[in-house]
Amino acid sequence: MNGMFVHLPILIIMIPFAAAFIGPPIGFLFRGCIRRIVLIALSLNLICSILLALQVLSSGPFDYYLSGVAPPLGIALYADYLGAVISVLISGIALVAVSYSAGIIPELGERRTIFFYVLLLLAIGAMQGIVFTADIFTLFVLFEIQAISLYGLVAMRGDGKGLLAGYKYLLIGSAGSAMILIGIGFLYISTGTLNMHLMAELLPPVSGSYTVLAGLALLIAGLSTKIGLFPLHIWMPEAYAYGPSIFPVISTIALKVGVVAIIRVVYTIFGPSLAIQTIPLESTLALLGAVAIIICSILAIRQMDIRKMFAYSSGANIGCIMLGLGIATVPGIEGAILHMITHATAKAGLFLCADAFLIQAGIRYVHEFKGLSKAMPYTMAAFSIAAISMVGLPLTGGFMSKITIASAAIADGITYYAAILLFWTLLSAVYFYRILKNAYFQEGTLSSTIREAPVRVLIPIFIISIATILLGFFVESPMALIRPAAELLLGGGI
Amino acid sequence: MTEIYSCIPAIPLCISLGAALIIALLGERVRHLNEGVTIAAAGLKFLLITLLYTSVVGGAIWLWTPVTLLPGVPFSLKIDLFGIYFALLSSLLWLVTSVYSIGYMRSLNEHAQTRYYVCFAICVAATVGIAFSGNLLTFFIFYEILTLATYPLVVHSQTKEALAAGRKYLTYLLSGGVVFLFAILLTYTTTGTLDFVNGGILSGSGTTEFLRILFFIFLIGVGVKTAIMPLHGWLPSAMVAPTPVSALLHAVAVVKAGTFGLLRVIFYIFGVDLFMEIGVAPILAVIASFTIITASLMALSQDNLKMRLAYSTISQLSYIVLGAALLAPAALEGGIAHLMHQAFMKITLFFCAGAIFVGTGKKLLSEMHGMAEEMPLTWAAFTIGGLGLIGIPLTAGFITKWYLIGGSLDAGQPVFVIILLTSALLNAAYFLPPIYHAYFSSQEKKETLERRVSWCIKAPIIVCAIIVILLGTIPYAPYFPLESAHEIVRQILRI
Repeated sequence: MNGMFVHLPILIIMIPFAAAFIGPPIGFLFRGCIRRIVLIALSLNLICSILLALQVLSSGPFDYYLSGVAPPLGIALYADYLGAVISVLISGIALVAVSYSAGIIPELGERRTIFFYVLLLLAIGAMQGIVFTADIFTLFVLFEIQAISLYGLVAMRGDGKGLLAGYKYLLIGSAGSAMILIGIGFLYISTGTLNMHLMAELLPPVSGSYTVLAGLALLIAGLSTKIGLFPLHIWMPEAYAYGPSIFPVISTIALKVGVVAIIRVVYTIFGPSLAIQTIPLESTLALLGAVAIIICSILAIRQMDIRKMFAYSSGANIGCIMLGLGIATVPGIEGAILHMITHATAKAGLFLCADAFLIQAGIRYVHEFKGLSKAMPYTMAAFSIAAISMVGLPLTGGFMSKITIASAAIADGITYYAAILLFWTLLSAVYFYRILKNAYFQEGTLSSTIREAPVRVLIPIFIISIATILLGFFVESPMALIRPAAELLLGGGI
Repeated sequence: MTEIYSCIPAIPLCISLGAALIIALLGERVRHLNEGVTIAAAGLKFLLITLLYTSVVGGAIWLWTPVTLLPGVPFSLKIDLFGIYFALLSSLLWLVTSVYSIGYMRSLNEHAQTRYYVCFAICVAATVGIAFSGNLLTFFIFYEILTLATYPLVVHSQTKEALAAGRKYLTYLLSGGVVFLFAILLTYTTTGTLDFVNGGILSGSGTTEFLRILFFIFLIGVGVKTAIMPLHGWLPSAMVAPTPVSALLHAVAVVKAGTFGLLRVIFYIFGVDLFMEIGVAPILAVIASFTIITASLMALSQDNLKMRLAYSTISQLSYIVLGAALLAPAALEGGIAHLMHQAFMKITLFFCAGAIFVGTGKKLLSEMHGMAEEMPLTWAAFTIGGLGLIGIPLTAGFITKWYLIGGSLDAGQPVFVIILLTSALLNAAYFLPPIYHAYFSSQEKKETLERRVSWCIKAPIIVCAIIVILLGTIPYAPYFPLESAHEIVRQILRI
């Protein structure tokens, strides 16, 4: 293997962290310079992620030992298909989000913009670490870095609602972190190692013990707070509604990273067969997912604030991903991973457009959209594409992932879950229909001063829209990574 | 038969989509250019489809599969005889309707004409996509695009009534789409493929019970667009749309897409043998007969002309379904020919309704007494269309009804002859009185109104009426629907 490529996993993690440390001094010295540093760091990060993905695709997954010390003494990173594909997703979406965002974010002011970007970089670095680490304690540490950065980001605006939302997020998130830590402790007591591979080897003899079962339960419950799985989604609506601009986009990929951690726990550490013995996967994860889909969709329909509506919609989509994981067959996991990608893309598009509506026109409630398609035609078009993908109609990414999961459910004999998935199309159509109908087919009382978003903002939005459409058509390219990822995960541990 | 792999099937699609894009970019400012683009694209597309038609009749099959969507299921465009038959219908009528649209939209000085022409072009592209789909998933993709692209046309006037109708429309069609997708995925998981294969892909997979259930899930899914009762509720509501939309989309493209899909499912997914074996054909025939009679009865009580035509459409569509369900070659031939024949008759009638609305602003039949004197051309065409749907000899409708009746006798089920004849009587009952009143009842105010109707509206009416007569007088001429229908049936039934 080429010497350069070996170090890619650690480079991907370190680039955002390094930028986070050099950011503030340079940012305070040169006005408005911080965004450029972030852009450069994230571009480098994206290039590294893509190189790593190509590397993994061509020569398979590989280990990376920090300082060259092999486990059980050292900490290992493991660059596999799943990590590579999610890493590209993280850096891609983050880069688009930052290129959308302004040099000085208006609602934060110059000083806090610098802190905003620093926290953002820390969160991104931590996410990249979570997808690659093979050490469960490192996973916890990185989760804490990510979570604390995100709490800070939510409360960044400093007004009452933002602080309250951040506080709520902090409370729930900390409870989750505590559970994760205790869960890790239980598994450590039982196996004597923190490395996921070794743990997977050492677990089978003790897998029946209550310590291990409690550890698994605590880990799943703790991670569920991170991904906002119903009924632990309650921090999401307010955090999304009152956090600063582009926070929801970052949070969307943070949710996906949490899902990766769940996949690691369930499939890498416990292994599919062991996990099915200890917890009945299908009837637990899939059931939780199905319940999340239905209830979060109904909550979204009742919601008139679009950012809260999209938060509930995220809850439903996380449910969809869990449902795919719960099916525990290769197509099911494939569908779940594909849905992570398509949902992150579409949701990023929705939130970027929602931010543009808020900034340009001050619009955040469904009834205010009347006549907006005339004032902001391009943003509205991009918004429609993202909405169609969220609903899961053809020629968008959301359709492909949804039918992959649904057909996996049918093939596995749980046809009613497929029926729920397809019925969900109608539920999500209801709340997007209201917005689009108002925007396109109702004359509004909008003030005539509302202008279309500037080109600098439209370009990232269009990139996301194009990606959404391409995912609905050329789905085979991401599948080239996703398929071996799913096969590897089901192959009994790493 | 020779199979040719090339990207040619995508070109007709791209012509319509390209037209939509150009119109969208040009915007409202250059209205005449938009109309020009529509006409040019429609003409070009019709030419291309005609060329493809001659090559397919000559035995060629065109195929293009650029990308894989699901394992074993590519995005597949395939032109076979049945597909090009449907594409020819839609592209010819797009050309005619484009001319009509221009006259109609100009006369009424409608708003949002750009949106109208863009959506119209997308709808027609989707229809051709449906015709050219080589597998069920591709079919479904275009099927849903058609649903979405029609919605803006239904709510065109943006009144409260139109928006309510639009919501009903989306609720029905999206629900139908979801059920259809469920059936498609069930098929995919049992067979691993979704290709349209002559003779079906489902034989030998699953129990009879499962296949029966699967068939009814398919029937509910596609039945919404086919407007099989009781899934027809959206069609009368959708009549709030401008008349050209009702004419092309809700008498031809959308509803025929459903019928076409049903025939594809029956003959290319299930296959004739399996379809007979699982014994759902008689049930389908009963449902179709029920729809034929009930919709005709409901049409009787409609005073709004377009509503009466809508119920008539619901009734006529089930003729095609009945033709398929009877499974006799003659009946099937009649059904497939009816796909084309009914389209011309119904579009003539809708065009007339539009012309009357443009000329006089009248929508209700009770207001149209004695109008034939004012609008002689329009009412002559209306008479031809109406007589055609009743099934009077020398019109297109007679030919197909003849075949359907012959087919039900061949199938040994004379009860359906009674259904067809009753329906003819009912057709007469709801078409003859308006025609009678238009010609022979007197009206107080007299004014010659037809001059106000532009030639852009009158010319398509005349063309369609002439085609209805031609289809009824020389039905066996080369390249006419009956010839193709005969060939399609020969292929499907392998005789």
